[in-house]
Amino acid sequence: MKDKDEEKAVLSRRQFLKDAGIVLGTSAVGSAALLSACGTNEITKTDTVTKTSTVTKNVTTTVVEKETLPLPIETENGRLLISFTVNGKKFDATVEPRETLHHLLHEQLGFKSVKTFCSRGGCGSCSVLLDGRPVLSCMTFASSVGGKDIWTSDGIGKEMPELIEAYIDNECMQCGYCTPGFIVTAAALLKRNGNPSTDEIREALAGNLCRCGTYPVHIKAVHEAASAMGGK
Amino acid sequence: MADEYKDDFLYVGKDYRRKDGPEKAMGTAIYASDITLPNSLFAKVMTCPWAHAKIKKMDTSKAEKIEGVVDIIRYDDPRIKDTKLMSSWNHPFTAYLTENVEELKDFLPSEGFYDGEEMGVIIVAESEDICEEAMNAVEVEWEQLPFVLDPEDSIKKDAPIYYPGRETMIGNGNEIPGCEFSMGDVDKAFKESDEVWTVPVAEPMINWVGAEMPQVTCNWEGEDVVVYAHTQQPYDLSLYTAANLGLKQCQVKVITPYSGGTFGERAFVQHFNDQGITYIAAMVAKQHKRPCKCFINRADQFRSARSQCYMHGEIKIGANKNGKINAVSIKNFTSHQRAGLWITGSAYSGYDHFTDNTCVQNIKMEDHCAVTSQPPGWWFRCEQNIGSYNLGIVNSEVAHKFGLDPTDVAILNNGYEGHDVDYLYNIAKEHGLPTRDSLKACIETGKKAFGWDSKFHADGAKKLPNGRYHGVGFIWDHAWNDNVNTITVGLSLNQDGSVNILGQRDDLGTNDKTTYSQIAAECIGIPYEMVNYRCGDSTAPFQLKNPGGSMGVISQSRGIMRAAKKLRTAIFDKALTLNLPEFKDAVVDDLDLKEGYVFKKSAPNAKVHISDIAATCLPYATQPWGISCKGVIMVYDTNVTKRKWGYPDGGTRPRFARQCHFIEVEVDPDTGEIFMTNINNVVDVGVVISPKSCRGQAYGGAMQGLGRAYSEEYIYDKTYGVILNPDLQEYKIVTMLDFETAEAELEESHNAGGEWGCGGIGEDVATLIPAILSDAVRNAIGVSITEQPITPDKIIMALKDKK
Repeated sequence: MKDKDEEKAVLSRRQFLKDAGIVLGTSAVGSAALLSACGTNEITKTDTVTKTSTVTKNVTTTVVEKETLPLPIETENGRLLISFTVNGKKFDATVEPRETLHHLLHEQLGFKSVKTFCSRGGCGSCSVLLDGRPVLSCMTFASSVGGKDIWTSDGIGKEMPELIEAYIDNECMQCGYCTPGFIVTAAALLKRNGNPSTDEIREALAGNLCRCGTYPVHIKAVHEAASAMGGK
Repeated sequence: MADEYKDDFLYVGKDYRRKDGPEKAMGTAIYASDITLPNSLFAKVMTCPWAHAKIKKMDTSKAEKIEGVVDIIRYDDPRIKDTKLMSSWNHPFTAYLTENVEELKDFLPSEGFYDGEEMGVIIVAESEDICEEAMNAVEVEWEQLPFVLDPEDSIKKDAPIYYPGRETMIGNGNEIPGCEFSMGDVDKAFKESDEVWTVPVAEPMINWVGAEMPQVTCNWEGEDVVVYAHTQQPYDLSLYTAANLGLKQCQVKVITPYSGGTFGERAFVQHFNDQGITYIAAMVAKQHKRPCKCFINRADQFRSARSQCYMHGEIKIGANKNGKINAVSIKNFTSHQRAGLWITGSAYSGYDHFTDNTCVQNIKMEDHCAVTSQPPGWWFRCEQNIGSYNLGIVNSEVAHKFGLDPTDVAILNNGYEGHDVDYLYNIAKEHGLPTRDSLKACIETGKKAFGWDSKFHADGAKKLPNGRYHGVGFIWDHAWNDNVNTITVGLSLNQDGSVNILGQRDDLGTNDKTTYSQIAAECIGIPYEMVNYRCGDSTAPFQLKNPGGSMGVISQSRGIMRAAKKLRTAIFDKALTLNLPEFKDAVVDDLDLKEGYVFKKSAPNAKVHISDIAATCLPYATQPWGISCKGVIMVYDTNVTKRKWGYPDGGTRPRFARQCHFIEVEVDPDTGEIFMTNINNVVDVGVVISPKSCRGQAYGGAMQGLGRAYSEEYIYDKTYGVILNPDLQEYKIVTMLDFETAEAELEESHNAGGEWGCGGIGEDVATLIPAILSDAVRNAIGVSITEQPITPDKIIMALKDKK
C-alpha cells in the first residue's frame, strides 16, 4: 500500500502534462537540437542555484523560492545528500560531487531506461526531462538536481500512452537501445507543441542517434501521437 | 525437390504488434550493460596509445593509492604469467575461411600493435569512475616502434615486419594469403571492347558503432560461471570462455538479454572485446569472490576494433557502347590486423557478385590483404561491402561512360556465371522454382515508385533554382539469401495449446520474436497469439543461427517448418488416441490443423481445439498433495546446409532474387554538401513475413549505407598512426537531418532461399547503398568520385578539376 507521501508525490496525468510544459530552470547541458525541443521562445535566467525565473511562450512566469530548491547537503564522507522526484516519486540520495545524473539514475536508483550510447553528450540516449526540459543526463551533475523533478521514458510512457502506442505501431524500435531517449525528446516536443510540423519533429529529434536507422518512422509516430493526444 | 510454394497465408505477411515493442518503447527492456549485480566490482583494461609501442617501464603506485581501487593486474603479474586467449584461427568458422592454424594470443601483452589494442594493465575498482581515474594515474614509459597504415605499403619488402613469427603463414610477415580468381580471357575481351578504362576505388575503415558498448558481467555459482554479455554469439562465447578458463563448456552459461545493436560485429567472439573482457570479468570475479563487470568506454571501443577494413584499389573495365560489359579486372588492397578475421575470398572482393549476378564472361580479381597498424575487426553489415561496392561502381561507370540509363545496363548484364538471365531462370524451372525475373520486377516497381523516368537526366545537366545540382542514382545486386551452417529449433506444446519456440537468444532488433512466431503459427496451424519466442541462454538445448542475422529468416524458417511438421504429427497421433467421434476411423494423414483446430480433412466442421488435445498429452499424474502434473509435447529438428544457399534437399543453387535502389540528391557546388532528398529501396524478399519490419530493415539499412558513403571514416594522424576521431562527435553517423524521405518497396518472387522462398533483408541494403551515392553524385555534377566517403572537399576538388 502506498504511504501518504508517495500518493501525494505521484502526479496525475493532467498535472504531469501541465508541469512538463513549465521549465523551472537548470543549467541544462546538451546539443542544440535537444535544447531546441524546448522551443526557441524560451528564456531561462538563472540567478543562483536556488532561485530561477523562467518565461516560456506557453507559461508566463514561475518563480521558485529558495526553500523549494534545497542546496545539496555535504555528508561526512564528502558525498552530497540531495532530494528530488523521479516519475513523481520522491527520492533521497547521496552522490559524489563528480557523479553524473545518468549514473545516479541508472546505477543507484535502477532506472534502466536511461541509457548510455556515447557518454559524451552526443547521442541523446541518456535524455531525461528535468523540470520539464530534456537534458542529457550524462552531462548533468547529479548534485545539481536537488529539489528537481525528473521524468524518464518509463514514467513518461505511463502518462503519455498515445506516444508509446504510436512508437510501437510504427516500429520505431529495432534494437531498441536508443528508443527511450527518443521518447523523452518527443514527449518534450509534444508538451511544448501539440501539433508539430515534420520539420519541427526532425529538428527536435536531431540530437538523438539511432544506429539501426529508424529515423523515418519517428516522424510518423510523433505526428500520430500528436493527433491521438488532440493537441494536449 | 522444390521449395514448398504457398501464398495463401493466414499469419505470414500481416503486421502484428511487435512483441518487443512495449518494453523497448518504455525503456524497460534490459540489456547486458544494464546489469550490475549487487556488490559488483568493475574492471577496465588499458589500451595502447600508439600505433606500435612496447612498455619499457610502468609505475602503478599512484593508482594503487586511490581509494576504491581493489586490484591492479599488470602485464608482469605472476597471476597471469603465460595466460593465453583462444586465437582467431582456431575458431571453426574462421578456420573454414582461412587455415586452421593453432595459435593462442597473449592475454595481456606488453607490446601493442595498434592504437587501441588492449594490453598492459587491468584496474579493478569499486566503480567505473574509480577505474577511469586510476587508469589515468598509471604512468608508462613507452618505446615507440615502426608502424605501417596502408596495406599496399605493408606488403613492400622494406616494410617493418609487423607480426613476427607469422612468416610461415603470411608471405613476407605482413601479407596475408590473398586470393586471385579469374574466368574467361580478360585481356582478349579488353581488346574487343569499344572502350577500356580504369577507375580508382576506395572504401574507408568504418566502425560498427553499436548503441550499446561491449560490456560483460560475470558471477560464479560455485564451480560454474554465469556471463551476462552483449554478444551475438552466446553459444560461441561459452565455448571460448570455457576454453580460456579451463572449464567444461557445460559450466558456462552465457545470458544475452536484449542487445543494443550487434550488426555482425558482436559475432566477433574471438576479439578481445568479447572473449578478453569476459575472461577478465570471470577471473576477477573468481579471485575476489564478487561479481565483476568489465567495461569498455566509447573511445576505447572505437580504437580497439573497427568493422569494415580500409580498402583501395582500381577496377579496369571493358565494355561496348550498348552497355554490355565484356571484361572486369579488379585489384584491391585491404588492411587487416592480426587477431581479426581475414576478409578475403571471392565473395568479399567482388568476384562472386559478378558471377552470381551477371553475364560478364571475363573476370579477374586480385585481392591483396596485409596486416597493418589498424585495429582488427569482424564486420558490420556486412563482410561483402567491398564486393558489392565493386559491382555497383562497374554498373555505374558503364552507364555514365556511354550516357546510358543505369537500370538498362543492369538488365542487359543481369545473369549468372557468364550466362544470360534466361539461363538463370531455366535452372529455377528445372528445380520447380518460380521463374519470375526478379531484377526486372524490382526495377519496374522502383522506377514507378521513385518516378525515375521523369527524374533521370544526362550527367550534370540539371541545376535547380536553389543553385544546387540535381542528381539521381541507381544500384543493384542480389538479395541476401545465404544459408550457412546448422540450426536446431525446438517447439514445445503447452497444456493450453500454445507453443514456445525454443532456442538461444540474441535479439538483433529485427523483430525476430514476432517474425518467428508468425512463421511457427503458419507452419503449425495455430493462431499467431498462441506462439511465443522467449528464448534461452547459451545452455538452451536448441541453437538458432543468429536469430535475425544474415541467415536468420532463411535458416530459422526451414528449421521451424521441419519441427512444425513433427509437432503436427505428434498432435495428430495424440488426437487419434482419444477416441473422439470427430476423428472416427481416421489415420494421421486424414487430419489437418488450422487456426488452432484439429479436424478430418473430409469433415472440416467437426473440429477439436488443440487445447483439448494438448491437455491430455500425458496422463494426469496425481500427486499425494492433490496437484496434477501434465507433460508436454516437445519436438525439434535440425536444418543442415553445408554451404551457401542451398536447395532444401542439399546442394547449392544460384541466387535468384535481386534488389535495387534509387536515390535523389542535390549537390551544393559552393560548399560541396550533398543533400539526400529521396531514397527508394526495392528488395525481393521472396515472401514478406512482417511487412513493417521488412520496410524498417530496408530504410534502416539505407541509413547505415548512406553514412558510410558520405560521412563515416576513421581519421588517422599519419605521423603517429593514432586515431583522431574515436567518438560520436567527430565520427559522423547519419542523423534525422541527413535525409528527407525514405520509402521501401517489397517484391515477392518466392525465390529467396528460405521456407516458401522467403529471404533476408537489412544487411543487404546497408551493403549495397554506398555505391549509389557515387552514381547519383556523378549524375549531379558530371564527375566521377569513386573513392568514398564522398566528403565535401572531394566534391569541391572534383568540380575544380572539371573546370
